[in-house]
Amino acid sequence: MNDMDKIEMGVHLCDVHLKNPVIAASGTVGFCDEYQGLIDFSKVGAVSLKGLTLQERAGNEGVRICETASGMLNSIGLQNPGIDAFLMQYLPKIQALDTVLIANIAGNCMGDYVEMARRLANVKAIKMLELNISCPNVKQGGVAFGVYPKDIGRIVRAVKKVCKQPLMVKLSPNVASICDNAKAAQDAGADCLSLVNTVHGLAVDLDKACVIVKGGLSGPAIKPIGLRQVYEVCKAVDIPVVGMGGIKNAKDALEYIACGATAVQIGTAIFSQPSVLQETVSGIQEYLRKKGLNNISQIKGVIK
Amino acid sequence: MAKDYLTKVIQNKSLAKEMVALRLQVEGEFPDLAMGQFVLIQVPGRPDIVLRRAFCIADYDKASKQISVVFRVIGEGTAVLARVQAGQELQVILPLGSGWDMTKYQTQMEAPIRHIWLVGGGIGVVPLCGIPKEYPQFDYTSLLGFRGKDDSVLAAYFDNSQIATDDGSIGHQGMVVDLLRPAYDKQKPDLILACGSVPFLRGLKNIQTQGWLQSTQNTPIPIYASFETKMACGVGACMGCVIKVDGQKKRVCKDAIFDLTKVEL
Ligand SMILES: Cc1cc2nc3c(=O)[nH]c(=O)nc-3n(C[C@H](O)[C@H](O)[C@H](O)COP(=O)(O)OP(=O)(O)OC[C@H]3O[C@@H](n4cnc5c(N)ncnc54)[C@H](O)[C@@H]3O)c2cc1C
Ligand SMILES: Cc1cc2nc3c(=O)[nH]c(=O)nc-3n(C[C@H](O)[C@H](O)[C@H](O)COP(=O)(O)O)c2cc1C
Ligand code: FES
Repeated sequence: MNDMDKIEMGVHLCDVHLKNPVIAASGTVGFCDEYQGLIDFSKVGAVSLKGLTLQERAGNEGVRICETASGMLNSIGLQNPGIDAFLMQYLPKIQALDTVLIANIAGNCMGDYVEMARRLANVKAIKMLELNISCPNVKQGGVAFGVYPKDIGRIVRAVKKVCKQPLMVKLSPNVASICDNAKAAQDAGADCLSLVNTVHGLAVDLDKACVIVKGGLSGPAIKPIGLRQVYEVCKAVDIPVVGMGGIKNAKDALEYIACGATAVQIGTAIFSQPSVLQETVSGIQEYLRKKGLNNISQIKGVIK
Repeated sequence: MAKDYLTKVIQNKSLAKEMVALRLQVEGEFPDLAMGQFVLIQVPGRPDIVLRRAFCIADYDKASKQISVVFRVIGEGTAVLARVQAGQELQVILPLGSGWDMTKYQTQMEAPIRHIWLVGGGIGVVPLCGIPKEYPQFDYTSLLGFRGKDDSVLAAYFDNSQIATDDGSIGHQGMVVDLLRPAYDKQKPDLILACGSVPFLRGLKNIQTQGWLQSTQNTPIPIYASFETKMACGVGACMGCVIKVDGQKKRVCKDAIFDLTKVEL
C-alpha cells in the first residue's frame, strides 16, 4: 500500500456513498457514453447526467455557445430525448459504470417534476435525483421555479412525496437571496443542495449589431460567485452542499470544500481537459498527503 | 474511439499571410483516421481560453504517426497556435467526427461513383484535400473559392482544380458557384463533396435547388457537406454545435457529414 491509498477520499452525500467528492456536472458529459475513452468514470465520485425533461426537447434555436473571457455562455435549452427514451435507450448502456449516477430533472410545470420523480423512483441504477429548478417555467410566465423561496418550497415538497432516492436541489445564483432559497429547499425536505447553476450573461456582436448568445455563464469566470454562495449557504443550512462553478483543478475544488462543501461538481473544465475529473481527485489526495492529513473530511469547512 | 493525445510539434510552417500548417507527432498508439475527421487542440499556456480549437485533419501518416492541420489565424486561439515552436507539446483530442464515407454514399446511389467534385471555399478546402489520396479509385475535379491570391496557396493541395477568387487576383473573379455550370457542361459528376462557411454552403444549396445538377442518369447529384459550428465538447455530449437536418437538431461534431438537401441553412 502506498501513501495515497491511506487517504480516505470517500464522502457520504445523504445516504449515498461516493468514492470521492468529485462529480461531473450536469449537461457537460451528456449521458457518459460520448466521453468513453476520454474519461474513466470509475475514477469519478458520481456523474450528474444531462438534464432530462418529461417529453423530448429540441432545445434552443440559433447559436448555442459562445466563449468569453475565462468562461463560456451556453443556451442549449435542455435538448434531450425525454425521460422515457433515456430509461429505455441510454441508461442500459451506462448502468454498469462503476460510479454513482444522478438523474438531473427539469420541468415546465410542477406536474412534470413530480411525474419524472415518479418514473425514476424504482430505477435502481439512479442513486440520486438532482432537481434543476433554475430553468424557465413556461406556465408561470417565464419565471424560473428557483427564484422565490415559496416556489422552491412547493416544488421540493411535491417531489419529495414521490421520489425514493435522496433529493439534491440545484440552486440558481441569479436570485435575491441564495440563503433564503437554500433554507426553503431544506425546510421542504431537500436531502442536499447543489450550487451554482450558470450565471445569466450576454454576448453581442457589435459590428453586426446583434445578440450572439443570451444564456448561462460557466467556467473560471464564475468561480468567485459560486464560492461566495456556497460559503454562505453552508453556514445557513445543515444539509450537505455540493459546490460548483468554475472549478478547473484540485485547488479550486479544495477551496469549495474548505468553505463547507461536502462534494464538488466540475463542468466546463471538462471540455478543455477531459481528464480534469481524475486529476482533481489525485490532486486532492496529493494535497492532503502533503498536509499530513488522511481524510478529506479534515478539510471540510476549515474556512470559517 | 477518441482519446486525448500528447503530441509534439514537428513543424510549424507559414503557408501564406495568417495561414499556418502544423505537423504533429502523436505519442502512443496511432488511431484509425479518416479524411474529413477533425481534432480539438488545447491552446497551450492559456487557461483563460476555456475551449479547445477545432481543426480538420489535412493529412496524416500512420507510419510516422503524424497528422497535419492547416488553419487561418482569425482570433486569439489561432494566434497562439500559430506561434508554437517545433518540439513544443500540444494536447489533442482525436479522431472526432465521422469523416467522408464513400461506401455509405454509394449505397444511397444507383449508378457507381466515378467522378467526384470537391467544392470548397477558403479554409474549408482543407477537409477535402486528402480525399483523392484516400480514395484513388475515383476521378476528381476540384472547384475552389478563395478571397485572393494569398489563401489560394491551398489550391496546391489539389491536382485538377479550378479557382475563383473574390478579387480576381487568380482564376475566375467571382464566386466558386460560378464555376459549377461550366464544369458541369464539361463533365457531369456523380457525387459532390463540399465544405466551407455557412454562406458558402447556402450558395451551393441554392444551386442545388435550381434543379439542373442532374447526373447522367437524370437523378439529382447528391451533395454531402461538412459543417463548422461553435463547439465545446466536440464529442457529442454538450449539444452546443447543432444544425437543423430533416427538421431535427443534429450535432455537427458527432452526426456529421450531412446530405446538403436535408440541411436547413
Ligand atoms: C469541425 C471544425 C473543423 C474546423 N477546421 C478548421 C480548419 O481545418 N482550419 C481552420 O482554419 N479552421 C477550422 N475550423 C475553424 C476553427 O475552429 C476556428 O477558426 C478557431 O476555433 C478560431 O479560434 P480563435 O480563438 O482564433 O478565434 P476567436 O474568434 O477568437 O474564437 C472565439 C470562439 O469562437 C470559436 N470559433 C471561431 N470561429 C469558429 C469557426 N469558424 N468554427 C467554429 N468555432 C469557431 C472558437 O473556437 C472560440 O471558442 C474548424 C471548425 C470546426 C468546428
Ligand atoms: C453546455 C452546458 C450544459 C449544461 N446543462 C445543464 C443541465 O442540463 N442541467 C443543469 O442542471 N445544469 C446544466 N449546466 C450547468 C452546469 O451543470 C454547472 O452548474 C455550471 O456549468 C457551473 O459549473 P462549471 O463552471 O464547472 O461549468 C450546463 C452547463 C453547460 C456549460
Ligand atoms: S460540440 Fe458538444 S455536442 Fe457537438
